[in-house]
Order: sequence, then structure tokens, then C-alpha cells
Amino acid sequence: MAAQDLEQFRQLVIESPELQSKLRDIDDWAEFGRVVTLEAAALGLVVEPVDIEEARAAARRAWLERWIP
Amino acid sequence: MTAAVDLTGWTPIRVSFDGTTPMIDWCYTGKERFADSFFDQTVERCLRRPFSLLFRRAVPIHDVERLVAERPDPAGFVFHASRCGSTLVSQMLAALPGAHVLSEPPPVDTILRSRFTQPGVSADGLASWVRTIVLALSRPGSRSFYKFDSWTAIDLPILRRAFPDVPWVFLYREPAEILGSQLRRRGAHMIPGVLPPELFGLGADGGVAVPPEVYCARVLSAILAAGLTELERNPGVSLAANYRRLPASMFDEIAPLFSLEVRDEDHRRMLDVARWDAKNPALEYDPGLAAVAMPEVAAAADHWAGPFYARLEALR
Repeated sequence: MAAQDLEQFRQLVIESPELQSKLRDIDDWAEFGRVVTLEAAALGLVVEPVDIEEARAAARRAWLERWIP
Repeated sequence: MTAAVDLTGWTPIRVSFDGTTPMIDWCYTGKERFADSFFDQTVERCLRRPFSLLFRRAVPIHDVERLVAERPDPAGFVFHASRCGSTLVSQMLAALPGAHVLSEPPPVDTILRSRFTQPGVSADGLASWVRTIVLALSRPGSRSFYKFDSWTAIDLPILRRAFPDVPWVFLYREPAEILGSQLRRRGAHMIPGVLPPELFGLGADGGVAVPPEVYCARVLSAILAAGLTELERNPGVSLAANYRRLPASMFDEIAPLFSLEVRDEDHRRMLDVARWDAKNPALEYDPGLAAVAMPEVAAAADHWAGPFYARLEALR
């Protein structure tokens, strides 16, 4: 459920310049997790810091493995 | 996708395929200057930011085509035979104010390689995809320059079809020096099997049954031959530039070809860049590190690539 909520939140962010501006300049992962959790909750979505950590690991792995067919 | 999509500050960092449709993976890069030696180094830095790593967007190429259709053509293309000073040229261009330099951007290579992975695509279709991804990588308000992978010289006809008016330079060097350097530390194209052997006109065995110096010499000869052929076909918009004349030829040949106005302060900045190792700017450039080839390497270089080198020299 949490992974689905994060994906739904991601879609909403992609469509919202306002949400993007709140998130895109944050360099610190802990702060980023805090803001995502709050903004997602405001939209009725449950995103926990652990979901973001898992998404971070998956995205890094996908990037590093981008040359593997 | 709706017309309201705004990709300002976003950069295509990768291309994948959804069936036969190229999907462009956009990453928020903000105002980050692509001033590193290679495109992916800047992308890596951007991907350290949480938003840029996690909030990417994939857009089909036909939607991207509409978004970038009005962007101006690039200001210049740099092709090269590898180990020829191309990174130095791209770094010197990046020192110019308002320049946006894309150095070996993988999205362009993925699209070009799709002629092997997507056999149904026509020549016009491929040129259209190339035009779209190149323009998508440009930055509105900047003059965009592209330094391609060395093997992209073989795709010059496709890039010329996509951008017939864009001026381009082909950098080359004594084949034995290139091979000497490559055999110490090979680029991807010099490792059998990494790129399709057909790209270099090699047989189905990919040329793996020959000694390393012969394989590398054949790859190099294919790149030099491709550059030479297109230089001969396009004398008005192209230039052959030998490594040994850098950085001087940056000012007296390449800059005029690209219609660059190099002011005194630009000249100083560009020369300052030339003091440093282009691939590792923490180190001063040491011409004493120039490659020296073993006799068998020099012989293979001379046999396979020597004739094309001589004809490139005769063009100048």
C-alpha cells in the first residue's frame, strides 16, 4: 500500500509545479523524507521514510544497471 | 501528455524502449552547468539530489518532438577518433559564456544504436528521432555544442540528415598514438562485443579472433574512414583538425567554423582550460604523457588506419 501511495504521490508531483518547487532543491535525504511525508499526508496518502529509502535504493540500482540489457 | 507540460530545468538522461517507441527519461537538473568532462558525470551529481533521483518522468519521443520543435539548431558538433583532444575542445567550448556543452550524451547514442535494435525504423524515422533527442538535450537561451562518442562518426550521415546546416569538426591523430593509448586503457568501442560489430564493418565473429592491436586498428580505420568520407562530401560545413595543432586550431579554425566570437577574456579562459588534463582537471596537462606504441601496434595502425590518416592530412 505504501509503495502504491508513493507512486501516486510521485505522479501528483510530476503534474504539480507547486509541489515540485517544494521538493526539488532539498539536498538532505532526511529533510526530503520529512517534507514528502507531510505533503503526501496532506493529499491523503501514507508515505513513510522507509518507503523513500527503499525507492532510493531501487532508483540507484536501476541507474547503475542501466547498461545491462 | 498535455500541452501544459513544462520541462524547463529538466534534461533527458536516458532512452529506453516501450516496444518500438523510444521513451525519454527526464531528470530535473535545474540550472546545473554541464561543465564536467562527460555528460554522465554531471548527471551523476544531479542524481545525488533526492528529487532528481526519485521524481523522473518518462515521455514518449513523439510528445517530446512537439515540445522541442521550435528550438534552434545546435551551434556545432564535434566528432573524433578518440584520444584526439575532443574532451579538450569540449571543455574549451564550455568555457565560453552562454555555451551548453553536451559531452558524449548517452541518450543520443542509444537512439543511434536503435538502427540495430529496432530494425523497422526507416532512415527518415531515425533522423527524426536523432533530431528530437539532440534538440531535447539543448538548453533554450544557450548555444548548444555536442561532442559525440568517437564511434558516432560512423553515424555522420544520420546526423547530417537530421541537421544539414550544423557545422562540425572531425578531430584525428596519428593512428599509432591513438592505438598506443587505447591499448593501455581501452574505450568501450575498442572492446569486442560492447558495440555491434556491424557498426565497424566487422564480420559476424566481431573480429574477436584477431590480435587486440588488429581489432583496435580495424575499429579505428572504420572511424577514420567514416570521418574522411563525410568531410569529402561536406566541405562547406566541416573541418578536419589534427590533435597536434590543438589548442591553437581551436581559435584559428574551429571557432570561425562555429561562428564563435572569442573575446580577449574568452580567449584567456579557454587557454586556462587547456592547461589542465581535460579528463581530470585536477591535473595539469602533460604532453610528455603522449602515447608511444609498441612496434606491432604501430604496424597494425599503419596498415589499417595509415592510409585514411594520410588522406585526412591531405585535406588540410
